[in-house]
Amino acid sequence: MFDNYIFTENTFRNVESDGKLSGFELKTLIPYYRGIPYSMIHDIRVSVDGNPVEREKIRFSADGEDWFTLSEMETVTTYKWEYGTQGTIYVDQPGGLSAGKHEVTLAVVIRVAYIPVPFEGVRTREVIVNLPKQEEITNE
Amino acid sequence: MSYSNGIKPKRGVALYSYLGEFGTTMTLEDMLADMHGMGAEGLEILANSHIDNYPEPTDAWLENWFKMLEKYKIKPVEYGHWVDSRLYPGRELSTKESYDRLLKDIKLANKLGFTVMRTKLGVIDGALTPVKNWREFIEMALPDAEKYNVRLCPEIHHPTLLKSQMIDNYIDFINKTKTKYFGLTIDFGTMQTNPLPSNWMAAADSIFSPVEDLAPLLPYTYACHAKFYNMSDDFVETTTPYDKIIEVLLKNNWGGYLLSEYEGPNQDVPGYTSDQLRKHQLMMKRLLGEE
Repeated sequence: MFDNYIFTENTFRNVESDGKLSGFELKTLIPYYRGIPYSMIHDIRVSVDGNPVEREKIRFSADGEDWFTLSEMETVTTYKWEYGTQGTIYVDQPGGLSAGKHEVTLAVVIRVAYIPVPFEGVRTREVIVNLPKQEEITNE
Repeated sequence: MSYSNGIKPKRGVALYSYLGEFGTTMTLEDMLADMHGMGAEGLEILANSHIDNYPEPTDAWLENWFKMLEKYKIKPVEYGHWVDSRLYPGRELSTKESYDRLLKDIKLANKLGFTVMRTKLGVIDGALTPVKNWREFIEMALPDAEKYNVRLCPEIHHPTLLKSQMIDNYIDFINKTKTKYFGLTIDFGTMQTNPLPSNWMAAADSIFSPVEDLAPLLPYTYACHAKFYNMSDDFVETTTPYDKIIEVLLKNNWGGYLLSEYEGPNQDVPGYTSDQLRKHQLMMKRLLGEE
Protein backbone atom coordinates (compact mmCIF):
# COMPACT_ATOMS: atom_id res chain seq x y z
CA MET A 1 0.00 0.00 0.00
CA PHE A 2 2.86 2.39 0.75
CA ASP A 3 5.45 1.31 -1.82
CA ASN A 4 4.89 4.51 -3.80
CA TYR A 5 6.14 6.57 -0.88
CA ILE A 6 9.50 4.83 -0.86
CA PHE A 7 12.80 5.88 -2.44
CA THR A 8 12.14 9.28 -4.00
CA GLU A 9 13.24 9.54 -7.60
CA ASN A 10 16.60 11.23 -8.33
CA THR A 11 17.67 11.31 -4.69
CA PHE A 12 20.50 8.80 -4.75
CA ARG A 13 23.95 10.32 -4.42
CA ASN A 14 27.42 9.45 -3.24
CA VAL A 15 28.41 11.54 -0.24
CA GLU A 16 31.74 13.29 0.10
CA SER A 17 33.31 14.26 3.38
CA ASP A 18 36.83 15.64 3.88
CA GLY A 19 37.45 15.34 0.15
CA LYS A 20 36.69 11.63 0.07
CA LEU A 21 33.62 9.62 -0.72
CA SER A 22 32.39 8.29 2.60
CA GLY A 23 29.20 6.57 1.57
CA PHE A 24 25.92 7.13 -0.22
CA GLU A 25 22.48 8.42 0.62
CA LEU A 26 18.93 8.29 -0.67
CA LYS A 27 15.69 9.91 0.35
CA THR A 28 12.23 8.60 1.06
CA LEU A 29 8.84 9.60 2.37
CA ILE A 30 7.35 7.84 5.37
CA PRO A 31 5.30 4.74 4.44
CA TYR A 32 2.35 5.93 6.54
CA TYR A 33 -0.17 8.78 6.52
CA ARG A 34 1.02 10.49 9.70
CA GLY A 35 4.25 11.49 11.39
CA ILE A 36 5.98 9.31 13.99
CA PRO A 37 8.83 9.50 16.49
CA TYR A 38 11.99 7.75 15.26
CA SER A 39 11.49 4.96 17.81
CA MET A 40 8.61 3.65 15.69
CA ILE A 41 10.89 3.13 12.69
CA HIS A 42 11.03 -0.62 12.99
CA ASP A 43 13.60 -1.32 10.31
CA ILE A 44 15.37 0.13 7.29
CA ARG A 45 16.96 -2.23 4.79
CA VAL A 46 19.10 -1.30 1.83
CA SER A 47 20.52 -3.65 -0.73
CA VAL A 48 22.75 -2.96 -3.69
CA ASP A 49 22.63 -5.33 -6.66
CA GLY A 50 20.94 -7.90 -4.44
CA ASN A 51 23.50 -7.69 -1.62
CA PRO A 52 22.08 -6.46 1.68
CA VAL A 53 23.92 -3.64 3.42
CA GLU A 54 24.89 -4.45 7.01
CA ARG A 55 22.44 -3.02 9.52
CA GLU A 56 25.19 -1.21 11.43
CA LYS A 57 26.14 0.83 8.35
CA ILE A 58 22.72 2.47 8.05
CA ARG A 59 21.94 5.90 9.52
CA PHE A 60 18.71 7.88 9.39
CA SER A 61 17.83 11.54 9.71
CA ALA A 62 14.62 13.41 8.94
CA ASP A 63 16.19 16.84 9.42
CA GLY A 64 19.54 16.10 7.77
CA GLU A 65 21.36 17.29 10.89
CA ASP A 66 21.24 14.65 13.58
CA TRP A 67 21.82 11.06 12.54
CA PHE A 68 20.97 7.81 14.29
CA THR A 69 21.68 4.13 13.73
CA LEU A 70 18.79 1.68 13.78
CA SER A 71 19.75 0.50 17.27
CA GLU A 72 19.99 4.05 18.55
CA MET A 73 16.59 4.96 17.16
CA GLU A 74 14.85 2.41 19.39
CA THR A 75 14.79 4.95 22.23
CA VAL A 76 14.49 8.18 20.22
CA THR A 77 11.06 9.69 20.85
CA THR A 78 11.73 13.42 20.69
CA TYR A 79 12.92 13.51 17.08
CA LYS A 80 10.07 13.07 14.64
CA TRP A 81 9.73 12.07 11.05
CA GLU A 82 6.75 14.09 9.84
CA TYR A 83 4.38 13.08 7.10
CA GLY A 84 5.48 14.56 3.78
CA THR A 85 9.08 15.12 4.93
CA GLN A 86 11.88 13.58 2.88
CA GLY A 87 13.87 11.48 5.32
CA THR A 88 17.47 10.69 4.41
CA ILE A 89 19.04 7.27 4.66
CA TYR A 90 22.81 7.25 4.70
CA VAL A 91 24.96 4.18 4.18
CA ASP A 92 28.47 4.31 5.54
CA GLN A 93 30.59 2.88 2.74
CA PRO A 94 34.04 4.41 2.09
CA GLY A 95 34.43 5.07 -1.63
CA GLY A 96 30.68 5.33 -2.10
CA LEU A 97 28.95 3.30 -4.75
CA SER A 98 31.16 2.42 -7.70
CA ALA A 99 30.70 3.94 -11.14
CA GLY A 100 28.15 2.28 -13.37
CA LYS A 101 24.65 0.94 -13.16
CA HIS A 102 23.28 -0.50 -9.90
CA GLU A 103 20.01 -1.80 -8.61
CA VAL A 104 19.33 -0.24 -5.24
CA THR A 105 16.45 -1.51 -3.09
CA LEU A 106 15.11 0.34 -0.09
CA ALA A 107 12.66 -1.03 2.45
CA VAL A 108 11.25 1.07 5.29
CA VAL A 109 9.24 -0.62 8.01
CA ILE A 110 7.11 1.27 10.53
CA ARG A 111 5.75 -0.20 13.74
CA VAL A 112 2.16 0.96 14.23
CA ALA A 113 -0.11 0.48 17.19
CA TYR A 114 -3.32 -0.62 15.57
CA ILE A 115 -2.15 -3.35 13.19
CA PRO A 116 -0.25 -6.33 14.58
CA VAL A 117 2.15 -6.51 11.64
CA PRO A 118 4.46 -3.58 10.89
CA PHE A 119 3.83 -1.53 7.73
CA GLU A 120 6.44 -2.00 5.07
CA GLY A 121 7.16 -0.11 1.88
CA VAL A 122 9.74 -1.33 -0.63
CA ARG A 123 11.04 0.00 -3.91
CA THR A 124 13.93 -0.81 -6.22
CA ARG A 125 15.40 1.77 -8.54
CA GLU A 126 18.12 1.59 -11.10
CA VAL A 127 20.85 4.02 -10.22
CA ILE A 128 23.63 5.14 -12.55
CA VAL A 129 26.74 6.46 -10.85
CA ASN A 130 29.22 8.57 -12.79
CA LEU A 131 32.52 9.14 -11.05
CA PRO A 132 34.12 11.37 -10.03
CA LYS A 133 31.35 13.82 -10.75
CA GLN A 134 28.32 12.56 -8.87
CA GLU A 135 25.58 12.38 -11.37
CA GLU A 136 22.89 9.84 -11.53
CA ILE A 137 19.84 8.98 -13.43
CA THR A 138 17.24 6.83 -11.81
CA ASN A 139 14.53 4.78 -13.30
CA GLU A 140 11.95 2.77 -11.55
CA MET B 1 -38.62 11.50 4.71
CA SER B 2 -38.99 12.72 8.28
CA TYR B 3 -39.04 11.11 11.68
CA SER B 4 -40.39 12.44 14.98
CA ASN B 5 -38.27 15.16 16.54
CA GLY B 6 -36.28 16.41 13.59
CA ILE B 7 -32.91 15.25 14.95
CA LYS B 8 -30.92 13.75 12.14
CA PRO B 9 -27.37 13.06 11.06
CA LYS B 10 -25.18 15.93 9.94
CA ARG B 11 -22.54 15.75 7.22
CA GLY B 12 -18.81 16.15 7.27
CA VAL B 13 -15.54 14.89 5.82
CA ALA B 14 -12.64 12.92 7.24
CA LEU B 15 -9.43 14.53 5.93
CA TYR B 16 -7.85 11.07 5.82
CA SER B 17 -9.65 10.85 2.45
CA TYR B 18 -7.10 13.22 0.93
CA LEU B 19 -4.04 11.22 1.95
CA GLY B 20 -2.82 10.92 -1.63
CA GLU B 21 -2.81 14.69 -2.09
CA PHE B 22 -2.15 16.25 1.31
CA GLY B 23 1.41 17.49 1.49
CA THR B 24 1.97 17.25 -2.25
CA THR B 25 -0.86 18.79 -4.26
CA MET B 26 -3.03 20.08 -1.37
CA THR B 27 -2.50 21.98 1.87
CA LEU B 28 -4.69 21.91 4.97
CA GLU B 29 -6.37 25.06 3.78
CA ASP B 30 -7.02 23.57 0.32
CA MET B 31 -8.81 20.64 1.94
CA LEU B 32 -10.97 22.88 4.12
CA ALA B 33 -11.82 25.07 1.13
CA ASP B 34 -12.74 21.95 -0.83
CA MET B 35 -15.03 20.81 1.98
CA HIS B 36 -16.70 24.19 2.04
CA GLY B 37 -17.18 23.99 -1.71
CA MET B 38 -19.08 20.73 -1.37
CA GLY B 39 -21.22 21.96 1.51
CA ALA B 40 -19.68 19.70 4.16
CA GLU B 41 -19.54 21.24 7.61
CA GLY B 42 -18.11 18.69 10.04
CA LEU B 43 -14.40 18.00 10.11
CA GLU B 44 -12.27 15.10 11.16
CA ILE B 45 -8.52 15.61 11.22
CA LEU B 46 -5.69 13.23 11.99
CA ALA B 47 -3.79 15.08 14.67
CA ASN B 48 -0.43 13.53 13.86
CA SER B 49 -0.76 14.36 10.15
CA HIS B 50 -2.57 17.65 9.95
CA ILE B 51 -1.27 19.66 12.93
CA ASP B 52 2.15 21.14 12.25
CA ASN B 53 4.51 20.47 15.10
CA TYR B 54 2.01 18.09 16.76
CA PRO B 55 1.40 17.91 19.70
CA GLU B 56 2.62 21.44 20.27
CA PRO B 57 1.31 23.67 17.49
CA THR B 58 2.64 27.22 17.47
CA ASP B 59 0.49 30.24 18.30
CA ALA B 60 0.66 31.26 14.65
CA TRP B 61 -0.67 27.86 13.59
CA LEU B 62 -3.50 28.07 16.10
CA GLU B 63 -4.46 31.55 15.00
CA ASN B 64 -4.59 30.42 11.39
CA TRP B 65 -6.60 27.32 12.38
CA PHE B 66 -9.44 29.37 13.84
CA LYS B 67 -9.28 31.84 10.98
CA MET B 68 -9.71 28.99 8.48
CA LEU B 69 -12.60 27.42 10.42
CA GLU B 70 -14.41 30.71 10.29
CA LYS B 71 -13.60 31.46 6.68
CA TYR B 72 -14.81 28.07 5.42
CA LYS B 73 -17.59 27.61 7.98
CA ILE B 74 -16.10 24.36 9.27
CA LYS B 75 -17.04 22.77 12.57
CA PRO B 76 -14.35 20.69 14.25
CA VAL B 77 -16.02 17.37 15.03
CA GLU B 78 -13.62 14.50 15.44
CA TYR B 79 -9.95 14.54 16.39
CA GLY B 80 -8.18 11.41 15.14
CA HIS B 81 -5.29 10.24 17.27
CA TRP B 82 -3.49 7.11 18.41
CA VAL B 83 -2.38 5.62 21.64
CA ASP B 84 0.94 4.46 20.23
CA SER B 85 1.29 1.32 22.31
CA ARG B 86 4.26 0.19 20.22
CA LEU B 87 6.31 3.35 20.70
CA TYR B 88 9.25 1.26 21.86
CA PRO B 89 10.27 -2.06 20.32
CA GLY B 90 9.88 -5.08 22.56
CA ARG B 91 7.34 -3.73 25.04
CA GLU B 92 3.96 -2.07 25.19
CA LEU B 93 3.36 1.31 26.79
CA SER B 94 2.48 1.15 30.47
CA THR B 95 -0.87 2.41 31.70
CA LYS B 96 0.71 5.62 32.98
CA GLU B 97 2.57 6.21 29.70
CA SER B 98 -0.63 5.63 27.73
CA TYR B 99 -2.59 7.97 29.98
CA ASP B 100 0.03 10.72 29.69
CA ARG B 101 -0.18 10.64 25.90
CA LEU B 102 -3.95 10.48 25.98
CA LEU B 103 -4.11 13.53 28.24
CA LYS B 104 -1.96 15.56 25.82
CA ASP B 105 -4.38 14.71 23.02
CA ILE B 106 -7.45 15.46 25.14
CA LYS B 107 -6.14 18.95 25.89
CA LEU B 108 -5.14 19.64 22.30
CA ALA B 109 -8.45 18.35 20.90
CA ASN B 110 -10.29 20.69 23.25
CA LYS B 111 -8.04 23.60 22.37
CA LEU B 112 -8.84 23.14 18.67
CA GLY B 113 -12.58 22.92 19.31
CA PHE B 114 -13.19 19.19 18.90
CA THR B 115 -15.74 17.32 21.02
CA VAL B 116 -15.21 13.75 19.79
CA MET B 117 -11.91 11.92 19.65
CA ARG B 118 -11.28 8.89 17.47
CA THR B 119 -9.04 7.19 19.96
CA LYS B 120 -7.18 4.50 18.09
CA LEU B 121 -6.11 1.93 20.64
CA GLY B 122 -3.14 -0.33 20.12
CA VAL B 123 -4.17 -3.84 19.14
CA ILE B 124 -2.63 -7.18 19.88
CA ASP B 125 -3.98 -9.45 17.13
CA GLY B 126 -5.49 -9.66 13.65
CA ALA B 127 -9.02 -9.46 15.07
CA LEU B 128 -8.00 -5.99 16.36
CA THR B 129 -8.38 -6.89 20.05
CA PRO B 130 -7.21 -3.84 22.00
CA VAL B 131 -4.23 -3.84 24.34
CA LYS B 132 -4.89 -5.51 27.70
CA ASN B 133 -4.68 -2.32 29.80
CA TRP B 134 -7.14 -0.20 27.75
CA ARG B 135 -9.72 -0.10 30.56
CA GLU B 136 -7.15 1.16 33.04
CA PHE B 137 -5.85 4.12 31.04
CA ILE B 138 -9.25 5.06 29.62
CA GLU B 139 -10.73 5.08 33.11
CA MET B 140 -7.86 7.26 34.32
CA ALA B 141 -8.62 9.70 31.51
CA LEU B 142 -12.41 9.90 31.94
CA PRO B 143 -12.35 12.81 34.43
CA ASP B 144 -10.10 14.70 32.00
CA ALA B 145 -12.38 13.91 29.08
CA GLU B 146 -15.29 15.31 31.06
CA LYS B 147 -13.34 18.39 32.11
CA TYR B 148 -12.30 19.09 28.50
CA ASN B 149 -15.65 18.01 27.05
CA VAL B 150 -14.44 15.33 24.63
CA ARG B 151 -15.72 11.80 24.04
CA LEU B 152 -13.09 9.12 23.59
CA CYS B 153 -14.27 6.80 20.83
CA PRO B 154 -12.35 3.79 19.58
CA GLU B 155 -13.05 3.14 15.93
CA ILE B 156 -15.07 0.04 15.09
CA HIS B 157 -13.50 -0.97 11.83
CA HIS B 158 -13.59 -3.99 9.54
CA PRO B 159 -12.81 -6.88 10.28
CA THR B 160 -14.42 -6.21 13.67
CA LEU B 161 -18.10 -7.20 13.66
CA LEU B 162 -20.77 -4.95 15.14
CA LYS B 163 -21.95 -7.93 17.20
CA SER B 164 -18.80 -9.19 18.85
CA GLN B 165 -17.02 -9.70 22.13
CA MET B 166 -15.02 -6.52 21.57
CA ILE B 167 -18.16 -4.39 21.29
CA ASP B 168 -19.66 -6.16 24.32
CA ASN B 169 -16.53 -5.30 26.28
CA TYR B 170 -16.76 -1.62 25.33
CA ILE B 171 -20.44 -1.45 26.22
CA ASP B 172 -19.88 -3.27 29.53
CA PHE B 173 -17.23 -0.68 30.32
CA ILE B 174 -19.63 2.18 29.51
CA ASN B 175 -22.37 0.64 31.64
CA LYS B 176 -20.06 -0.04 34.56
CA THR B 177 -18.49 3.41 34.59
CA LYS B 178 -21.78 5.11 33.56
CA THR B 179 -19.65 7.45 31.50
CA LYS B 180 -20.84 9.73 28.72
CA TYR B 181 -17.24 10.42 27.75
CA PHE B 182 -16.36 7.09 26.17
CA GLY B 183 -18.19 5.64 23.19
CA LEU B 184 -17.79 4.39 19.65
CA THR B 185 -16.93 5.68 16.20
CA ILE B 186 -18.45 3.27 13.72
CA ASP B 187 -16.85 2.81 10.33
CA PHE B 188 -19.38 1.83 7.66
CA GLY B 189 -16.81 -0.46 6.06
CA THR B 190 -18.05 -2.95 8.67
CA MET B 191 -21.33 -3.23 6.72
CA GLN B 192 -19.99 -3.63 3.20
CA THR B 193 -22.16 -5.86 0.99
CA ASN B 194 -20.69 -5.63 -2.51
CA PRO B 195 -17.14 -6.12 -3.81
CA LEU B 196 -14.68 -3.27 -3.86
CA PRO B 197 -13.59 -1.76 -7.18
CA SER B 198 -11.48 -4.33 -9.03
CA ASN B 199 -7.80 -4.54 -8.11
CA TRP B 200 -8.41 -2.57 -4.95
CA MET B 201 -7.51 -4.18 -1.62
CA ALA B 202 -9.43 -7.35 -2.42
CA ALA B 203 -10.90 -8.69 0.80
CA ALA B 204 -11.75 -12.18 -0.37
CA ASP B 205 -13.21 -14.21 2.48
CA SER B 206 -14.22 -11.33 4.72
CA ILE B 207 -17.27 -11.32 6.94
CA PHE B 208 -19.30 -8.15 7.39
CA SER B 209 -22.14 -7.10 9.68
CA PRO B 210 -25.77 -6.75 8.64
CA VAL B 211 -27.16 -3.21 8.90
CA GLU B 212 -29.60 -4.44 11.56
CA ASP B 213 -26.71 -4.73 14.00
CA LEU B 214 -26.11 -0.98 13.88
CA ALA B 215 -29.20 0.31 15.73
CA PRO B 216 -28.40 -1.14 19.19
CA LEU B 217 -25.01 0.61 19.11
CA LEU B 218 -26.28 4.07 18.22
CA PRO B 219 -26.85 5.25 21.82
CA TYR B 220 -23.09 4.78 22.34
CA THR B 221 -22.01 6.19 18.99
CA TYR B 222 -20.75 9.78 18.80
CA ALA B 223 -19.52 9.85 15.19
CA CYS B 224 -19.52 7.64 12.11
CA HIS B 225 -16.93 7.18 9.44
CA ALA B 226 -19.01 7.12 6.30
CA LYS B 227 -16.43 4.91 4.61
CA PHE B 228 -16.79 4.51 0.88
CA TYR B 229 -14.82 3.12 -2.01
CA ASN B 230 -16.66 3.97 -5.17
CA MET B 231 -19.28 6.54 -6.14
CA SER B 232 -20.84 5.81 -9.50
CA ASP B 233 -21.61 8.57 -11.99
CA ASP B 234 -25.24 8.38 -10.96
CA PHE B 235 -24.37 9.12 -7.33
CA VAL B 236 -24.66 5.65 -5.84
CA GLU B 237 -22.02 4.09 -3.60
CA THR B 238 -21.48 0.63 -5.02
CA THR B 239 -20.06 -1.30 -2.05
CA THR B 240 -22.09 -0.36 1.02
CA PRO B 241 -25.90 -0.13 1.52
CA TYR B 242 -26.05 3.58 2.34
CA ASP B 243 -29.82 3.77 1.80
CA LYS B 244 -30.42 1.17 4.52
CA ILE B 245 -27.79 2.58 6.88
CA ILE B 246 -29.13 6.12 6.71
CA GLU B 247 -32.68 4.84 7.11
CA VAL B 248 -31.60 3.23 10.41
CA LEU B 249 -29.91 6.45 11.56
CA LEU B 250 -33.01 8.51 10.76
CA LYS B 251 -35.38 6.04 12.43
CA ASN B 252 -33.28 6.16 15.57
CA ASN B 253 -32.98 9.94 15.61
CA TRP B 254 -29.21 9.71 15.61
CA GLY B 255 -27.87 13.25 15.44
CA GLY B 256 -24.12 12.84 15.10
CA TYR B 257 -21.85 13.50 12.16
CA LEU B 258 -21.40 11.28 9.12
CA LEU B 259 -17.81 11.88 8.08
CA SER B 260 -17.25 10.91 4.46
CA GLU B 261 -14.11 8.83 4.30
CA TYR B 262 -12.91 7.88 0.85
CA GLU B 263 -10.64 4.84 0.73
CA GLY B 264 -10.92 3.82 -2.90
CA PRO B 265 -8.51 3.89 -5.83
CA ASN B 266 -6.78 6.87 -7.46
CA GLN B 267 -6.26 8.85 -4.28
CA ASP B 268 -3.06 10.24 -5.77
CA VAL B 269 -4.76 11.44 -8.96
CA PRO B 270 -5.30 15.17 -8.38
CA GLY B 271 -8.99 15.98 -8.01
CA TYR B 272 -10.19 12.38 -7.95
CA THR B 273 -10.80 12.19 -4.20
CA SER B 274 -12.48 15.59 -4.22
CA ASP B 275 -14.84 14.45 -6.95
CA GLN B 276 -15.66 11.23 -5.08
CA LEU B 277 -16.31 13.16 -1.87
CA ARG B 278 -18.56 15.62 -3.68
CA LYS B 279 -20.66 12.80 -5.09
CA HIS B 280 -20.78 11.10 -1.71
CA GLN B 281 -21.97 14.26 0.01
CA LEU B 282 -24.69 14.70 -2.61
CA MET B 283 -25.82 11.11 -2.09
CA MET B 284 -25.99 11.59 1.67
CA LYS B 285 -27.86 14.85 1.24
CA ARG B 286 -30.48 13.05 -0.82
CA LEU B 287 -30.75 10.10 1.57
CA LEU B 288 -31.05 12.45 4.54
CA GLY B 289 -33.87 14.28 2.82
CA GLU B 290 -32.11 17.64 2.82
CA GLU B 291 -33.29 20.27 0.37
